[in-house]
Amino acid sequence: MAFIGAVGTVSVDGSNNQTGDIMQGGSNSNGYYVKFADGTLICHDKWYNSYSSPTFDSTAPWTSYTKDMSFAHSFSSSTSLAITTNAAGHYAGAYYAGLETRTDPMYYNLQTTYVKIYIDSWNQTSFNYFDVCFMAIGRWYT
Amino acid sequence: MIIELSPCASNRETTTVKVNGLVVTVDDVAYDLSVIPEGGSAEWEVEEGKFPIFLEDVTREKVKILYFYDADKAILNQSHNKEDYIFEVTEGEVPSPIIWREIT
Repeated sequence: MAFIGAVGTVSVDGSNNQTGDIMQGGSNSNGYYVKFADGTLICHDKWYNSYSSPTFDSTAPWTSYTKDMSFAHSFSSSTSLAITTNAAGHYAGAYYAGLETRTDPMYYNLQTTYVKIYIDSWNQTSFNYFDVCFMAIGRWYT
Repeated sequence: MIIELSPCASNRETTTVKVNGLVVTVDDVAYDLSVIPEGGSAEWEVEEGKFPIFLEDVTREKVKILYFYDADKAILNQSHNKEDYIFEVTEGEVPSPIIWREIT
């Protein structure tokens, strides 16, 4: 009999039988992840855009910017992802962050290593500083 | 050439990257960047259902590559400093930025 730890290294065999611990957390320069023995994977990260001034496509009355944000851990290629985002800016005005899924959501859901995020700001001709967070939930094996 | 690796923990094999002039080889598949005009850039078109190879705009001078690493063999918390994942290589293998577990 082997003892299973709550926190450690998660692994499964070729038949998806649990061979490691229950949950595993890790991180790298693309953020943080927590994965579970049942296959659930959560990735999250935040981006402080305080070092550069991106060029926005100005489309009155709002300005938009898109950015690819990579996941710290890859999801299974056949998973469906549930992703939430939020943003805050350093100028007055309403900021909104969402997924660049306005034309074809399924296409972007198939990208299991990154998410394309857009940031909108009402009534701003430019905004150089903002923070963006995302959290993605899916599966790391199927 | 400046190579930026975008780390992605995975249960896949760790990505290998080699450089020979303007040819970048990722997992034994060679990509000749000389097709990009000098001073120009190209965008990698992601095939549906497949992982991207290059991220962001690709130029002759700089590429950003999706870098899978075997999470079972690595320490859990890797460097968060993006500079640790950037290498300047003109020829040969790009070193791994991942800190691996000690084998006991």
